[in-house]
Amino acid sequence: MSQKLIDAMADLDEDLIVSEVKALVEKKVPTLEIISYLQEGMGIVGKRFEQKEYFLSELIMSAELFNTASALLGGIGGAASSKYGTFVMGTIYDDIHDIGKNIVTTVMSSNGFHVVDLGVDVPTAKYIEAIKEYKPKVIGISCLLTTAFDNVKECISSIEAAGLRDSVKILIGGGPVDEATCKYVKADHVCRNAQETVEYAKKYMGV
Amino acid sequence: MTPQEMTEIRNKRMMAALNMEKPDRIPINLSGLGFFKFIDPTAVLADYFRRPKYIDDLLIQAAQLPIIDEIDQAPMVGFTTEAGQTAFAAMYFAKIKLPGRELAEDALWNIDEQGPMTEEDYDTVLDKGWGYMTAELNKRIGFDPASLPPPDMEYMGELMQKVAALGKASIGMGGLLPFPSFEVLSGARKLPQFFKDLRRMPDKVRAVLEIMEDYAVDETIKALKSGPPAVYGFIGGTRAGCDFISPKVFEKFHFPFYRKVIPAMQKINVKSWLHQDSDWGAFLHYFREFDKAQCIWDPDQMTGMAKIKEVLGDKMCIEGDVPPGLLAVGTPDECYKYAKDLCDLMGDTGFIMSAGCSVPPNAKRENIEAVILATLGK
Repeated sequence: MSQKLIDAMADLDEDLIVSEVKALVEKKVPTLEIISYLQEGMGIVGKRFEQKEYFLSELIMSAELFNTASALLGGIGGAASSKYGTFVMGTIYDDIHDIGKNIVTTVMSSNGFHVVDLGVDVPTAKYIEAIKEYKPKVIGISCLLTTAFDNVKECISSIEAAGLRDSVKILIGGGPVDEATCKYVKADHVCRNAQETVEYAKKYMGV
Repeated sequence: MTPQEMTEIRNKRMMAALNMEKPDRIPINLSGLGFFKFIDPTAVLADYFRRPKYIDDLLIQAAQLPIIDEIDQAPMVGFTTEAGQTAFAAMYFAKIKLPGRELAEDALWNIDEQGPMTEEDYDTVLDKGWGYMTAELNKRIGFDPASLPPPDMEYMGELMQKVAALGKASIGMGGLLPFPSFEVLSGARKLPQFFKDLRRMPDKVRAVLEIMEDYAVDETIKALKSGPPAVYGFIGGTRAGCDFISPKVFEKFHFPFYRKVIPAMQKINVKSWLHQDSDWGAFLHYFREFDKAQCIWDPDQMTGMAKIKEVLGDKMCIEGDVPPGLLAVGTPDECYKYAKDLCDLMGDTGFIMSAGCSVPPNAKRENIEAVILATLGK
């Protein structure tokens, strides 16, 4: 047990996170165990965000730090974090905003989901390929531009045409996205923030 | 009525709203980038860069359509150019992705953040100033302001004549002014790195911001003094609302910019048009310290107009906030109801009807018309 790493992650102390991860690796502590400490720290970050002790700036930072620490461990493999199954996410094509997506993917990853991050400006074909390959129960589409609503709609419609719609719940999120957008693009749910995505996915998967 | 007389009425209407006096009716600022489609549905956003004169012509035609012609603001002609968008993105030391070039034909241009500033550069700013750093960062992203093509003055003259013939409001907005220093620095470093800097070396970041703020205020005043007379100057903010940062961070790192620039603009008789995207609910009260009718609060739909009116309604004109998503995918009935409720909430003094952030390029014509009709009480 490394309370030091958990606290460092929760307090967003980059230097301490890096030194502690390196120390644990040297001591041959199993990667999965180190990841579990980072995840526990991220859980505290999430709680502090809910309690308005932390803000989006801290969530963005925590995502960066979690990824930095993961990279020291050679990345988080699917098996390492797939306690609750796979979550696929990307920002829809013609939109390159990545901040919101990065927060959600990291928070999902730190909450025990195997995350497949498709990146930004993601074409429909890539979502369909990922659904076929990873068989996620939930996918997320980020969209920050009103002009890209039709792209989200087309993507969801193509997922349906490919016969894959019944196998996944589709979540959408992003600044201008609201209930009316959800209805328009035929998604299943609008998530206002990363925590809501975690809660929805866990509830749907019966966790 | 002549166009000049119409312009006079509209200017009086706008000025009354900005000065928090009662206008003859609520001014309507709903001009949109995509209105060219109301005339030629086959035209796309890439045409702004491919055949700009054609798009300008369509926008001028669209401004004369029945009901749409009640919009007080001039159509958005003449300034959405590749050079303009490149310069705009460079204010964040970012690059621009354009429709028809990196993006699909009818996609909206995207800012592609580069984050060219290093941690060592904080010392460079302290040593050599922000002007030096700006030139250096521009070089790093391959942006040379001197290489931008100059505007075609002859065409701009013709265009202004066409706009004048529409009888729209003509009160002056100062050119492209510096963004808040907090935002500029976050673009220079990239957002995640900047937030780490705030935590790791807050005093150094504050010292650099101090230099940047003073530089930005000087540049703002210079720009306003060198251009045609301006009633207001546009100050954009997108990534520093109360959902993004804590009140402590806001007070120490962001608000000082407003404390410097708003009074400096007031001294030369220019109001501050504060375009504030994201949720500002918990930060609104800070802006009460400025003199009455010196600012215009221009939010997106995230803050909520009831809250803004409650906190700032007696201090400044408020513009807003029909959600862009509603204008794009809602029904005319939904848009009419939203606008009607908004008018009832805001009253007719110190309020301008507009979209949250801006009218999206894919706003439906019938939705824009519904908002206009609701504002006119028809």
